[in-house]
Amino acid sequence: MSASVLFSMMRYRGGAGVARAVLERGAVDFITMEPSTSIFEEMGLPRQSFTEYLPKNVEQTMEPGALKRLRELVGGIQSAKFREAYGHFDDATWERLQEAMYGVLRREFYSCMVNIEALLRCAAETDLRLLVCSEDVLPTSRSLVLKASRIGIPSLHVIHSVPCGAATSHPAVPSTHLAVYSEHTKRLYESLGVESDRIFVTGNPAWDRLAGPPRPALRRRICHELGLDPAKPVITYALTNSGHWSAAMARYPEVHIRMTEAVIEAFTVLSRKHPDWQFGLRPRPWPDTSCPIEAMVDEAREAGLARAFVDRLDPYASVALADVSLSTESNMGIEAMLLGKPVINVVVSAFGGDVYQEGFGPLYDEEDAVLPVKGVGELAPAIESAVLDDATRTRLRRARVHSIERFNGSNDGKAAQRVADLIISLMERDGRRLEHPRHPYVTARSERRERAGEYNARGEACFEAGDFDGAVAAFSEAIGEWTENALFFNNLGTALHALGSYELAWDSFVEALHVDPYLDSARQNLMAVGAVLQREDEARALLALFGVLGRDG
Amino acid sequence: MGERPDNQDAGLPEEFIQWRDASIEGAKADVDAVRFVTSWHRFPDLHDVLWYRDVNLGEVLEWALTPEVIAILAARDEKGRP
Repeated sequence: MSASVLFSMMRYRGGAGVARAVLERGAVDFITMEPSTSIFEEMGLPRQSFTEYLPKNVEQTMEPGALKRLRELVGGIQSAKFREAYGHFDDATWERLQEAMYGVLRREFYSCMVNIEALLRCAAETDLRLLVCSEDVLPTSRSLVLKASRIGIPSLHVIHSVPCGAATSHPAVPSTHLAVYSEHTKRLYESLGVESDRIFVTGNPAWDRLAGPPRPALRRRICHELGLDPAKPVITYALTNSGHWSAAMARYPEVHIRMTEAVIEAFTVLSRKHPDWQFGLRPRPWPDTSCPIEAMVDEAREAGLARAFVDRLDPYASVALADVSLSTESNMGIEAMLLGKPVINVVVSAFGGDVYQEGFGPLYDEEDAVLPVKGVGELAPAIESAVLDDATRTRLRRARVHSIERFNGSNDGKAAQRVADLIISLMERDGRRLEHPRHPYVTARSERRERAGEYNARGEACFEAGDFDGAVAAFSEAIGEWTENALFFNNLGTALHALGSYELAWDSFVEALHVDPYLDSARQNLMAVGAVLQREDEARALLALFGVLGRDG
Repeated sequence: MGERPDNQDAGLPEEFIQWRDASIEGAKADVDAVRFVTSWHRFPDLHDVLWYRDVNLGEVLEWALTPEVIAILAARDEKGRP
């Protein structure tokens, strides 16, 4: 029996990368919380579903007991003793609080009981060593985290965003361990009272692919799919959300709609002035009927906002597409900034700016690489300077290093590996290392990596012999087997350069930097081919954006 | 909390009182909400029923209850404004 991990990260980007890295490090059986995820199947990763451990015949075995408890709870909530304990609430408020308790108990209580039973069965039938989740305050995960802790199984919460604003939803971190993105996020959690020795700085696995430049032609392909002109600016706004996570937020229930209206107004003004600019509005990633975005865009089109589109791309594609990215205290802004895009942070004071001042505080500080907008009238000029003004863009690029370190630590594209190392170390017991991985998936990957190495060696031999066509063929074979080695792309670029295929060589060097932006040979080669193609400025700009931490200037 | 008569807490466990009256900074509705959400399940009669397999399921529900309680208490405070 291999050591098992109960893994609840598949709803979040980066989860698949972590799973893959764990499988390559040790003999680990995955049990996933998400029953319907197809990602494991698509990747050919072995896994079990937690649903397999759900108790059978719950109608007989659990429901009667749960109903009895619920009836007792309703009785307790209605009791005079309980009322007296909260005598400071007036009767009308108390009645509403009681209703809220009934509602949450009705929705969540029973499923938490069932999950705990499933966890116990899972722990009895497997060698369960760790629970990993991306959100440990949700009822389901919290019930499992707490129960796991009671039976001596540790848990790791891999945060899924940099927190900001109201902190009332995160008064506790129930997991035994916490993986955060940077020293900055570590300090945020320490300020909540989470002990330092429970917090590990790993970087964000979901942002690993943002460490290097996008693959060549990605933006062009997305533009083509959306019917946009890649030669013209694309400006997008990622809508914010609303909620009742603090009294201030409750005072501004329509903050997300007001901010969006202001942005659309600015887009419309700019659209008249720059008819070829293209404007995207990006709804929240989960169904949010509280902001009728399609209707708002239709209305704006009638009011003169030409070239508007609703951006439902995956977040990476969305930030790769945008030339300027607008958002409101959003991690989407961080992602755009990591990818080198000018970012405008839209927090119109009159619409509820104080919402973002409380709790964890604002997402960005004064040194961050964003243009802050606090008034409706500032929006259009800020967008114009982000698109057109070189000084503004240079200033943002210079400030970026500070922001990258603040939000994603070393930003070296290896956060998934660090989280995987942490998972493995938390799963090891009594000083014994986990067994070597033996999943067919891992073996197949290892064989492919080995074959790729052989192709690459053949390519190098061809290159040495002056057989550049042979070298191109062999390096391409290597990449066909293994896309995760920047050297293969760099070698392909060198062979293409030797053949005079400079455009293709350029693309290969960018591919190399996409995998490893710090690969010096690829950086030098991009400058060299850039000189031939008269794209030196473009090469210089790209190198100034990626692989920059730890470099002077 | 000065509003409460001295004898009203008689018989209540110290842990419950500590959470209900916890020292928290912030807007009144936020403070009241956090105190309520983190204390109600420690009330002895409820605690015993919520206790399942060594886990207090009321504690598990804190996050789910928070926005509803904040909305209620924020509405209360809005009404009370001049």
